Amino acid sequence: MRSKAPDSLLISRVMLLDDRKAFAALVERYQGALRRFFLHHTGGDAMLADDLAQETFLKCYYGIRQYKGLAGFSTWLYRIAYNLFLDYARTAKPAAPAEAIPEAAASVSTDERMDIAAALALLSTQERAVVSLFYIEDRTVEDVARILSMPQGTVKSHLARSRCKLADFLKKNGYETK
Amino acid sequence: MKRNKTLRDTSIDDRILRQYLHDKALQPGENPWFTPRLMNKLPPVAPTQPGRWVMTTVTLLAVVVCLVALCYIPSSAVNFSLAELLCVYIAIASVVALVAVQIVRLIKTYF
Repeated sequence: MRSKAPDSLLISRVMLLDDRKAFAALVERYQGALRRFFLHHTGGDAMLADDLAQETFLKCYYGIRQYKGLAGFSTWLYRIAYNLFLDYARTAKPAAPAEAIPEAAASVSTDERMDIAAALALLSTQERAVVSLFYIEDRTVEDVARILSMPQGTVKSHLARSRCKLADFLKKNGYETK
Repeated sequence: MKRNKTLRDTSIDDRILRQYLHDKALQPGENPWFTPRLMNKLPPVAPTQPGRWVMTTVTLLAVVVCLVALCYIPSSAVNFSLAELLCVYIAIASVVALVAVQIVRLIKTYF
């Protein structure tokens, strides 16, 4: 059963008492969003996304005493996740599945169901992070800026650039809105 | 000088994109093993230290004794000899030191 206790209570229980049940409740609460975030960054590789999400939660557990509560817990968690993904991308670049996605994008016909991974693969890592946080996770520009450690203006310009790239992709693939 | 900027209406793009990304967003499948697997990766829970509990209990008892003594001294201090008074003050000083050690320990553990 999912815990209904507020984040702050669960966090303080983990911090002060090393309460594993409280930590498990936090994991249950945020694992879906975090796995989805990584899924969009790894081009749909579910196994890799799960591994990265696990690594993020481990980092969160070991560093939970550094959480000062200045931003929301999920913002802090996404920040760890994004930094972890950047580290991963730096070390495992040749094997990153995202490299293979542009080919997949070329092969998508207008009749086929469009692959979001192909669309996101057109974007840079930063743009992809901005788009997935803003459009898919419904975070505000302020939150996105805090997560990605960049000024709000930069987030807006990333959004504008991504919008153009994605709009082109949608037009080329004949995506029509109802 | 005022610049006459023609702004592009991005709200339509925004709407289309939001709809597209929400419709097609990748959703992670159910993974019931995610949390148990993660919990297994955490370090084992530190075993309870009996010494620590003993220390905490002794401190609490000492604090209670100290409080009782403090309430008792003012009424009967007149009848105390210098040696007795000295003993009481040494006991109070020890309790204060004990409590200080516990507080420092707590601070070191959690911050």
